[in-house]
Amino acid sequence: MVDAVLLILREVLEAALIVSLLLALTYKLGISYRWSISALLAGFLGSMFLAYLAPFITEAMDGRGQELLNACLYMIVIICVLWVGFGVTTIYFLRKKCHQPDSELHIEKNKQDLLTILCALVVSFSLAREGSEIWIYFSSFDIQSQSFFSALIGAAIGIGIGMSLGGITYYALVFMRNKYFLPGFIIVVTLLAGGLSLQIAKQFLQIGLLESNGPLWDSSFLINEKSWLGELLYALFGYDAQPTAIQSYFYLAATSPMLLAFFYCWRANRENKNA
Amino acid sequence: MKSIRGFLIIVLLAIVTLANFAAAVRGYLGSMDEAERLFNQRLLQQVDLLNYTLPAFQSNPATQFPFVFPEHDLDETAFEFQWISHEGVLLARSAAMPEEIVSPLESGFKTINIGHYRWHALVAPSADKLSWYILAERDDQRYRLAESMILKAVYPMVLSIPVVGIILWFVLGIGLKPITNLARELSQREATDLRPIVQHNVPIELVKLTHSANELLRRLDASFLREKRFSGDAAHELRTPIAALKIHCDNLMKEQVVPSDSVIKLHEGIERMNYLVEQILLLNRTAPDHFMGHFGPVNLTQLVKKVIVEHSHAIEAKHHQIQFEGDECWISGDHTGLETMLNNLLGNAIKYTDNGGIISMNTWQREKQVVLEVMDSGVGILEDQYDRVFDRFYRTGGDRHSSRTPGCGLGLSIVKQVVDLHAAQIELTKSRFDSGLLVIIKFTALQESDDKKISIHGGDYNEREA
Amino acid sequence: MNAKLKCVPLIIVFFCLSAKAEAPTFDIEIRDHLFHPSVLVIPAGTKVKLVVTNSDASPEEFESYELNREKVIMGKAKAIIYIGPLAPGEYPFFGEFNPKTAQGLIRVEK
Repeated sequence: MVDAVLLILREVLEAALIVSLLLALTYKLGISYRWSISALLAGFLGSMFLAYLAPFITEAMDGRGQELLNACLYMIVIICVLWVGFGVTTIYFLRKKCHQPDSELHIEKNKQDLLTILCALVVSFSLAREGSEIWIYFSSFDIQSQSFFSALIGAAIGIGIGMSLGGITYYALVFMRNKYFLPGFIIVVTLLAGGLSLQIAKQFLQIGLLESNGPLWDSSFLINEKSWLGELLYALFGYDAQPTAIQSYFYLAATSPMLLAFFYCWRANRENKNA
Repeated sequence: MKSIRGFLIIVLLAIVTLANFAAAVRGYLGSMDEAERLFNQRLLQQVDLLNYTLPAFQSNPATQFPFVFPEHDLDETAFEFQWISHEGVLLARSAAMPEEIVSPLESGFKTINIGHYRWHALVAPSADKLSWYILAERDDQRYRLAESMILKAVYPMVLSIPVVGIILWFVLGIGLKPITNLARELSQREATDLRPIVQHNVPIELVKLTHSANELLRRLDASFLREKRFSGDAAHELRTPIAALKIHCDNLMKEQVVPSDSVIKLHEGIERMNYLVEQILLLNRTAPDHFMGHFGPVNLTQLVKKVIVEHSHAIEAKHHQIQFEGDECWISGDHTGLETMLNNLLGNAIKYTDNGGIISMNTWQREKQVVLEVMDSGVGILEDQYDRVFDRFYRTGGDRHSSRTPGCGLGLSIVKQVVDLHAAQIELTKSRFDSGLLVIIKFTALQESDDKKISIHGGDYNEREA
Repeated sequence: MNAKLKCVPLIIVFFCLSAKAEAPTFDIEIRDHLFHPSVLVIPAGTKVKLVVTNSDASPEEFESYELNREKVIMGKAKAIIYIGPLAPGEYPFFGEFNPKTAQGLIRVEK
């Protein structure tokens, strides 16, 4: 049962936190939550589809299909997430310039549509990837057996904990003042993109596309990946106790656009002020 | 925040779920450890059992070593063992154990792979220290047994969550009832109903809100009352001197055989002032905020005819040609208000149409709608001013109106108010004549079902305010 | 997004590098939710290709926190996982779908 709890919680928590983060953003921008329903549905169906195709995918490309597909999915999510992050950065600095960092947020209609599409893409692709593993896990059980019942209970507990944390996070973010929410969102998005890029690197390492030279450091003694905190950090930012040099390049590549954008906006803002 | 109920239910349920499931996982892990301890203890007890039986077995000279005990058919908990002499020779074994010794002879608990399974093994010396026992239990069976027991305690915790959710939903509904009641009471009120909110057993959280709302209503009511009284008084106070002025002016005109220019201008001025006062009073009376009329079935067609008859003098004076067409139409409305509206529309048409023009008033039944058309061949209104003519005191072309007719720019404002009062739509467009204005007003028709079409003719329906 | 695109040539370079030398291959079999062998000894300081064959009908996920690897292997299928180069030591791995039984250890020796 505990194995099922851990396995499911890991997948559900990551999805739940992404969903609540984006839902809170769209709520603050005055966009209807309806996009999330279709995105969740798409993710659900997508995960079933991926699980159904799993035997073909794992066999494809000399047994590299799974990793390459995962890398693609991660890539799409990273691009969408960074895009949303850029949008939020511009909103943040615009408000700073107008000296109203704590007023109501709003966004133009055409940008609203783009934002909803990006959010829906992030949610559905993340969910499809996470969900397919759960389906595969359950396919390994004999439905009559007690271990299936035990795994079901474990899954219910995992889903319950994950969704509860997601719900609480959502309301915490909704009640957060915009002054803190926006920079917080930018930071989380940057870390999220970085964490996902680590996963891409890991996929390439696993199929031997990239060479690694052993881990750069081992922070297992600080936060073990197997511990609850480690799992949480993994779910949030793709925490890795023993990252390799290649992984750190990927991390830099994924986070630098966001950092550059932030720095650029900040400088433009300051020059504007001085002028 | 979208909904208090939604927020409370999600957060409360999340907290309950987290606490409950954390307890479930914690309890599960603790119980599993405890079960592990119990199973190990059972293995130790079984060592004793072997100590009692096996040595006696050894003393029997007929025994062939190694002796293989027959297979048993216990599916749930298989217990297997090997009995090994001090020199490492297998003395006896149960059927499922292999010939070779499965574990090094060091006493203690171990996990080993035998056959297709993972086993929990206990290596222990015999009581006389001359031989060794290896006792083994299948890990998966052990695990299943322990888990089936613990799951019985855990799964009600999981099943309770949806139940808790449903209960929370209803409880919060009951808890938030006073707010719903208050909101309903306020939203169901007529615009003119400014009585204080009477609520019994108001929860303390809402007492302040109810008090403030009541205070607001009281002030609003007082100011409305003041305004109503003011307009009533003003009506009286203004009409009386105007009437007096008019009589004196008429007298003056009669006294002078040839009325002087000033007297004629004075007469015109008095007429205009009289008209303005009447219009302002009408505007005030039909204002939706404090409309006091009564809605009932009204025969619009009859009413149109009546208004035409009332204006026949003015029509004749300007040699207008008047047309009337249409179906017999019934709507639900305020008789007085509608009459005022028609008076103003026809009045405008007469006023702004040059001598010898055509005026047409039609009422059509269009399925569930009643369409009233007032069309003239007059000067009309420029398209870009359609929206503005409903503004108070707005006159096309400013004060120097082309028709040079007296007016105050309130007529269409009053029409608009009456239209709004009846939830109807008004539309201005070009007349079907060569020039002029077409006013289209669409009412909701009175349903055939509520067939209370009491024949109401304009004459026997006099409810005008003073 | 530009920085992402810059990664592409980098990846291609690594692709070519990796194709240069064929790594030594080791086999692991999953049977009855157990790893055979459950202890695998591999050389230190070199990249190693693990061929994991799943003889069970049900899928399994090869997972190791220490090796930083995670891969689903469907029933009756084979998967290739590259690991290393690794420092000498012990690296446990397990099957995430049956962690009670499917446990193994990679021992890296000089």
